[in-house]
Amino acid sequence: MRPVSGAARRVTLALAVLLGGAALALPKYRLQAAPQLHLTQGNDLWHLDRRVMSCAYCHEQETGGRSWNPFGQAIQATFRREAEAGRAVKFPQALSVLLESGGDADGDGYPDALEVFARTLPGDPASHPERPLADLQVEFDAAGGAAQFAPPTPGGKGTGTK
Amino acid sequence: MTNRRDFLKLSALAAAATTGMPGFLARAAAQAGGSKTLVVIQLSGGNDGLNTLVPYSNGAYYAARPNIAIPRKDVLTLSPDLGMHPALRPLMGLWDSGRLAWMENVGYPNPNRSHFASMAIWHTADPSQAQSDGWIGRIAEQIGDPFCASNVGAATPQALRASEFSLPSIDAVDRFQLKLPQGLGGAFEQMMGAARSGEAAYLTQATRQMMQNTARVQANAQKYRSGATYPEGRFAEQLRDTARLIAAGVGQRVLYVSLGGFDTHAGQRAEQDELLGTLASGLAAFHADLERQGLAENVVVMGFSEFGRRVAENGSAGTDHGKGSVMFALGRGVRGGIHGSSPDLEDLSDGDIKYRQDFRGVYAEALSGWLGLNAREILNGDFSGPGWLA
Repeated sequence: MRPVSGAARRVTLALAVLLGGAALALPKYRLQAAPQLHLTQGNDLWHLDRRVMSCAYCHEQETGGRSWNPFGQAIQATFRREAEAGRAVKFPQALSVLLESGGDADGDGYPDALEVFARTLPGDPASHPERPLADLQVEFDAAGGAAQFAPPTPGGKGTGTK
Repeated sequence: MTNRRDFLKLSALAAAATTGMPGFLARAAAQAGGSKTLVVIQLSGGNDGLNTLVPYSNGAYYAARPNIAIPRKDVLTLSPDLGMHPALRPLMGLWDSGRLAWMENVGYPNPNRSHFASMAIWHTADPSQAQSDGWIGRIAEQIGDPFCASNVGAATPQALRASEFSLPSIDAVDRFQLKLPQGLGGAFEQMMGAARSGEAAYLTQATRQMMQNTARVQANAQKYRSGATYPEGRFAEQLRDTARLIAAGVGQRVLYVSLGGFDTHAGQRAEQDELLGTLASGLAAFHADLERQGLAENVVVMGFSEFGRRVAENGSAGTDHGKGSVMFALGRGVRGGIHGSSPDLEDLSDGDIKYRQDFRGVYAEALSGWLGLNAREILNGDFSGPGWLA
């Protein structure tokens, strides 16, 4: 069988984008969260790539659905707490508030913000950084701490808005 | 010398080169007929009706929504029991002048909570989901003109798909222009100038007519000067383009504009408050523009969403997919007021309101009462509406 050339692959990808863009695109909350958490760098088509941020980031199942893992539940609780305090926040703000709080939703010993930084799943105790917490914390702090996951500012460069 | 086959190929090329707004709008001006335009606003995602038209005197509303209900002090009072979300303040002038109508408790039998399925039901006007063509597509079939309606936006919604064709989408009026590919101008002029007879003569004449109409439409579109200051944002831009198309006299009977983001599962107050503000400020500017251009008499706006949201708030200070919701209409041709009875929040269906007004009745009034079309044929049945037209 003849190998597929790079040009053919590019054409196929372009067609896939044209024909199925709407169906393939990430859902609303992940479209907001992925750049905010710096998970999109180096991937020009990140908004069409579900591997950038899997459903298991917040859901129990890889396929999503109504069951939320501890990190997803922590986001929900953040919305509720903010509303109870009379603050109307959107998803990026709620995510930032949660990561700033220093919590460890899945109880694996690594705070959620450090798991985001290390690209492991903050809602799955079986997924956690391999490096010692102290070493990771130093690197995390040097990179700006939880502030690096602040919501993008309107019209500004923000934290990785596309 | 150019032969007949070359002529047809070049004509097709010319048609392709002139594809888009000028060509089909010129055709629309010639064929659609009728002086009245319906502008349909789609609120995508499932707009929460209870926080839009707020039952502020109902304790059950506040009990179900301890964190996201609109406080009574903030509600824009319309009646002793109902009021608008405060972000809708730009529409208060229309309400006060009797040009804003709210249709309460609108839905359809066997409600579907899926965005995709429910939107398809509203688009096809068929809760059985047996039909694949849209209700506006069927308008085009009844009028006999595939250019009598357009979506103002990127992708044509199912509502504008007929059984054999899809009505056009105009992403931005300014981007459409009559332009031949570079180097083909001379060949095209030579082709058009050649003496012909029979089919070829007809095609030449039709092409010339299209170009003349196109030039007229372009000139009219160029002459448009907005009669109002529109807010910033894509939705307002699309409404401005809609006003521009109406002002250009292109004769389109239905124009379709969408505003998305109403799927407020979390942090509803922040999300919906902003969206309703965008909706209201855009529509207020649109109506003011039409008024100043002397066009308001012939335009009504009708808005819907694929479903409302559940009565009780969820654990994320948001609401999940529900069933019935509200519709709205505005314009000089509208009978202002609140039409229909409010949902009984203490008699729910699985946590959702029980709809009382079938949305096809609202459509039917737009079709027969405003556009002068056969609603029964387009909707495949007789449906009574709430009487929202003046």
